[in-house]
Formats: sequence, structure tokens, C-alpha cells
Amino acid sequence: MTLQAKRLIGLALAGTCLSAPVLAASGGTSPVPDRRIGYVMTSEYKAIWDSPDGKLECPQGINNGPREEFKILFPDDKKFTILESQLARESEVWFPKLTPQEKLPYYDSVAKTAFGVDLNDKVDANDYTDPDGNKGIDNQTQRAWGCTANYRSTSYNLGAFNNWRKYSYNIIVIELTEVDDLINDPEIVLTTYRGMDRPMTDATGATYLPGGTQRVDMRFGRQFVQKFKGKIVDGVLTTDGADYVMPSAGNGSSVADVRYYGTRWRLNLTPDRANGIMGGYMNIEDWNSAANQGRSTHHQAYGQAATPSIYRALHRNADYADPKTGEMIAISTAFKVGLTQVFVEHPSSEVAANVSGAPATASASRE
Amino acid sequence: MRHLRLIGVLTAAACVFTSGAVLAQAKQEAGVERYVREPTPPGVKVFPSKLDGPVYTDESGRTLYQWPRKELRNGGTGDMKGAASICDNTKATENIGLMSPYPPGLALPDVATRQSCEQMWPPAVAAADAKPVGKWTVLKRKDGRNQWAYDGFVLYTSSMDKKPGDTIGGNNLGRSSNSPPGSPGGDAPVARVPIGPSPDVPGQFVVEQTLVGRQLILSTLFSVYTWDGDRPNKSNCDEACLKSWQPVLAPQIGAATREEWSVIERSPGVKQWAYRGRPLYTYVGDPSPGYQHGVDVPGWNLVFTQLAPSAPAEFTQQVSAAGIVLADSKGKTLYIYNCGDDAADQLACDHPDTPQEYRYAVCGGGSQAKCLTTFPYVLAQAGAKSNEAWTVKAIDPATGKSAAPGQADALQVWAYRDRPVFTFVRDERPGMIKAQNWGEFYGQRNGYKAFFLREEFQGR
Repeated sequence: MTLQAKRLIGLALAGTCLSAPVLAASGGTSPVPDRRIGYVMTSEYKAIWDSPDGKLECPQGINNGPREEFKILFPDDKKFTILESQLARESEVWFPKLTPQEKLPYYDSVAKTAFGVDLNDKVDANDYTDPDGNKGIDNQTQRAWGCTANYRSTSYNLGAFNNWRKYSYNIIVIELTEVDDLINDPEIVLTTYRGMDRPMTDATGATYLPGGTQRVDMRFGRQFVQKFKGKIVDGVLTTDGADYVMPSAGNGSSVADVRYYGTRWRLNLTPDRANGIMGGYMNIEDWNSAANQGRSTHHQAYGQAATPSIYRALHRNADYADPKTGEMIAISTAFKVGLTQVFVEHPSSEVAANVSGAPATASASRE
Repeated sequence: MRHLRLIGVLTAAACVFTSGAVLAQAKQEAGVERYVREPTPPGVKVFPSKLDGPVYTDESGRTLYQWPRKELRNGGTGDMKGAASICDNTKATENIGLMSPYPPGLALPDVATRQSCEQMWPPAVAAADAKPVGKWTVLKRKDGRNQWAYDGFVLYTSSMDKKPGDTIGGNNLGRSSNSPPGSPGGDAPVARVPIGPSPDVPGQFVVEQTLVGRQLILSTLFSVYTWDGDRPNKSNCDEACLKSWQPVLAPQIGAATREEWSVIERSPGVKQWAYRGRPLYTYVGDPSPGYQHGVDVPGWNLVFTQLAPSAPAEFTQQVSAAGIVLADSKGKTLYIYNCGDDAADQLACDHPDTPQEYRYAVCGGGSQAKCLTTFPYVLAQAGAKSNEAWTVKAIDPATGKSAAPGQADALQVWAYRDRPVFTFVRDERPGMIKAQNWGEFYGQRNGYKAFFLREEFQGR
């Protein structure tokens, strides 16, 4: 018996309820016969617009990374101590400063185009127009990240960001409920969860297949549950904004999560796939932690990403203020996301009750 | 690390099976791990370490360690199998750039006071006429003395060990969770590890060192379980039960007789392993090695050959997004600090008696004062009781070093394996783990890792 088969048997015994039968399984009448359908995220890329040679948006070239900056500060022809060099740099990594560093220039992208969504229903002076002509696009990370190799489309790290099958901590499942029609529906609800199962692929492992199963993690993953109100127009789902904690995994079993305020989704829906954009205002401190906990300075150097310099650029371009303090704490950003249809299994109340120690906080708890 | 922790009083007797659903109720009892007996040199004994299981000690009771070579980012260090020791009386003054991205040739922070590798790790010297026995051989040091080797690797004692059977010198804390049992993680320092005889378990099983204890798992690294519904050497797992739980089958022939192990016959020709009289199973809901989902099912338990000593009574357990962590009395997650330098001898910097500059960099941007607020120590209550793993240590708050005897402003802090544990200021609620992997190389080389009792997501 295969592991997959064993797992399915175990799940059935565990008292679960299935949702989101696909078209074939439902007798061919509707992709959402019980008014719900689930998808698992199978690709996620930082949504940065760039030209083939970078000259258009980065006329001053690509930014320096950790190795290049270290050489500027500590040239080879002098002797240094670990304390004044390596440890001083690592201090900056973990406790970055906003003071500009004259010796370490960092250039923003000057592109006029960016991917993303309109997060505030306004067309501001710094907003972008996306390649489809949509105005009011909020994605200031286009400026902060656009000339850093790590975040560009030719990046080594681009593949690493999308390494969903390697990790099990960051399996993101969305479930659409109250859906009457996948083409046009004025009111639906999108709920995010963390899934517990590796997304299903074909025999090559290269293509994700619809029809898989995802168990919802209500044992350890409650903080990743969030509801978004939305609508579907001509097959495109858009949602209102809501705060969202995205599970973020990286190297070394790192599990640093990132808060996105006012998150919105825009997805082209089919019964098998959902592709589009997830945008939100990214908490900059969370980003710094996740970036460095998920990729060491050594690994950041692969993509010439000097996180202390990037941190300053993110703050310089920040466009979201803490409602309580007025302090600029976040920056608009966007991801290109691809999702594949799955059956979503929710734990039965009996199983949930048997799990001790589960947090009592509601799904919208925030870090 | 794959951990589920029982916090409770451990008594000396037989079985060690833990239930995830009843974390605070230690109904189990501590056992002592059985081991394979083998010939040893005169004076070498086996010490039943509560932290590391059976370990070999020399004639003075000092634990013996190996330092196997490991490749790092830009080359390797450590002893080669069958080769003479490279740990001598040279005092390192600079890093040698084994890690990345920082270059070699940087002056170490403790040049003035640094000890040599040999001072920190005295060789296990063999007599001039010492004879090899079993896995034990004798290798010649560069200084002409003989040095004992086990399984080809030369042996040392640790200057940090104070009592017979101490294993304070060794440090497996930074190893990556998906490393083979007992080996340090990919970017962790080249670690010294205590040596001991092999656990006396059938070939289908291995024993993995965890922060909870020494866990019995399959050699495929899948978790194994026992069920409260079974009786001694009798499985009551019926047809419905078997859909979720698979018996760990024993060979039809040749199931060697071992103490504490038995083979039960489920039905004619179908044999199942039992440990300490309890039939063993795997759980079909564990998707891959390392998972412990089965322990969430009431009545089902993980299996340990022995548990680690109890954590302080005031500590708590919290559910995080990545598993169950040990926390202080207020629910703040505890963190272990790992550190090894980039010199050829890879000396540790994770202890109060080692250089603190590394820690200051990642806990306070270079400031000890900031470290005290960002990663505060866990203060021990008056009258707190120590054990083999958890001790109360006096720390000088101005330097982060061990306090002088009688120092009035010393902080009395909890230490695990003689190293202070910490909380993190940004963990605002119980169960938060915002400092997991904080520091250089994912907290393996100069940084922090959460004290996981059960880690659910390990990249496996």
C-alpha cells in the first residue's frame, strides 16, 4: 500500500468532511455544487517588473550584495578583527539602522510599470500602472527591490522562493465558499488555511494536478486562517482587504512568518486553477526577520541581497502607517501566485476536541 | 529535532512512552537504555548518562569524545578516520574562512586569553604499551604520545566536564533536524560528540537524541508508537484500528532475543515487535519521516529508551505554529544559544566562559545591555532545584560571563547543559517563536533556536 493510500485511509478514519468536489466527481453539473471550492498555492513569486537587460529601470546598475559591501567597508589590503568586521556586519543584519550609509549606495528601481493590486482604492502619485493598463497599483517594493538581483526574474533565488514542495510549513490553501457561480458571483468568501499535505503532482513531479486533497491544519496553524469578502466578475475574483499572516519557511527549518496588512487577492478562476496576484502591505520588521532567518548572509549573497541596505530602502519607500502610532511600518507589495484545485478536508469537531493544547484564540489572531 | 516532552517527575523503573495529549501528566517512568556490550580497553567504562544515554568514560570517569571531520562552506576540519589528531597546542589567532561570506584572516576576539585546542580538549592518552581491542585502536600523536581511538577516530576528554559522566563539553544542540542521529547540522560548527556503545535495538530501529530524551524510531526515521489499549505482549488493535495503525512487523526468523524486546504473533505467521512488553506501530497519518501526528490521537504514545531529566517545574509548554515548545512560567518560548568560531579548532563560543562578542552581535547589535532586554535570561526562583540537565547558574550581567563567587549583583539564571537559556522580547504571546533560527546560519553557528519539544516542520 502506498503512503498516499495509507494517508487517505487514515484521514477517512480521523473523521473528516470533504468539500469541493470537482466537476467530474459531481456528475458534471457544476464545479461548485455545494457552493465551495478549494485551491492550494503551488507557485509564488515576488511580483517585480523588470526589463531584459535592466537598463530601463536600473540605469545605475544592480545593487551590491553582502560580499561587495564587505569589501567596500573592509578592503583586502588591511587587517581587521572579527569584532569590527564580521560581527559588526551581522549586528547590522539583525539590528538594522535607518541611518543612510554613504559608502554603501543602494539604488531604487525607476520603472513606471509594476505588478500588483490597488490596495487603497486610490490613484496616488507614487502608484504604478500594471502591464494590463490598470492604474493605482500599490507596490512600492517594485522600487525597493527592483534593482536587487535576488528579486529580479533572472534571480537564483527565484526558484528557491517557489520551492513549495520542499517545505511543509508554508502550504497555503484557500477555500472559496458561498459560491454560486465561478464566472459571476457578487458575494463569496475566501478563507485562507495552512494545508498539511504536499501538493499532488504528475509522475514527473513537475506539474501540479487538480483533484488532490489538503487537510486543514487547525492544530498548529490557526493563526494562518483569515476570511476575505469578495466577488467574481467574468471569472476574475477580487477581494476586499484584510490582514493576513503568511506562513514563511526557508532554509534551516526556519519558520519566520510575515504580516500583510490590507491584503487583497485578484485571481483568474477555473475549476482546476486560480492564477493572479496577492498584494498587501508587508510589515518591514517581519520581512527583515524572515529574510535573514530564512536565508543566511551567505545565501543572501547568492542574490546580492544586502538586507541592511534593503531594510533602509523598504523604510524609505514605506507607505503604510500603524493606525495607532502613525509610524510607517509596512510597504505595499505583491506576489504572483498560482493555485491548483484541491479537496479541502476540515477536521471534525470530534477530532478537533481531542487535540490538546490548541490555542484558544480566534482565527484572526495576529502577531 | 523531533520532540514531544513530558514535564513531570520521572521515577526509576521500566517503561518510557509519552502521550502528546497528556503532556503535563507524566504517567510514564524512566528507563535506562540498554546497549550492546563490546570489549573495551582497561579502565574504560560505560556511564549511563541521563542526557546522552550510555557513554564511554576513561579510568577517571571523564567522558570520551570524538571530533570527526566535517566539510564546511570552504573546506573542512576535524579529525580524519584512522589519522593522528589535529587538535594540538597551537593557539589560533585568526579565523580561517571555513564559513561564508566572510573572508579568512580576521583576528579572533579572544586572542589574549584563548586556550589551545589541546587545553580545551585533552587527548585520551594511551599507555606506551596499550594494545588495540575491538573497535579501540591506538594512534600516535604528533608529540609522540599514544592516543586512544574508537572506530578510527581519536578520543578526547573535555575541560568543561567537572563530574564523572558529564557531557557538558559536547554540543549537539545546533544540529539540523534532518541530520542523521548524533551528527551536527550542515552549517553548525564541527562538533565534539560523546561516544558510547550502540543501543541494543533490532536493526529496524535507531535511537535518536532529542531534547525530550532518546527516542526509539524506525531506521527509516518514521515515528513508532504504542497504544494504551494493548496489554503486555498482546495487541488489541483490531481491524478498524489497523486502518490507521500499522504493526511494526518482525522478521519471520532470526528475531534475535534482546533484553526488553519481544516478538508477538498477531496471527499465524504475522509477527510484531514489542518493546518493554508494548507492541509497536507506525501511524498512517504521518506523511513522512519525522512527523508525530499519531501522538495527537488519544491513547497513543511515542517511545523513548530513556527520557531527559525534567525541566524546572515552573516551566510551561506552549503550542506554536511549528510545534510544541518549552516556555517560561509566563509562556514565553525558551531559546538555546549555539556558537562555534571559525578557527581551525572550531572552539565553542556558546558558554558563559567563552567569548561573548559573538552573542552580543546577534542579541543586541553588539551591546550586552541591549542583549539583556532583547534576549533576557530566564531567572530562577529562590530555592530552585537543579538536575543533570537544568542548573541554576550565576551570571555577571555586565559581561555575560560566569559571575565571580559571591558576586552581589549576579543574576541567577536557568541553564540547560550549563548554558543559559533565553526568551525573546518580540514574543508577545505564548506560543510565538519569532527568534527561531535568529543569528548566523539559522541559529546553528551563532544564534538561537527555540527549545522544541515537538517540531512539526523540519523540511523532511
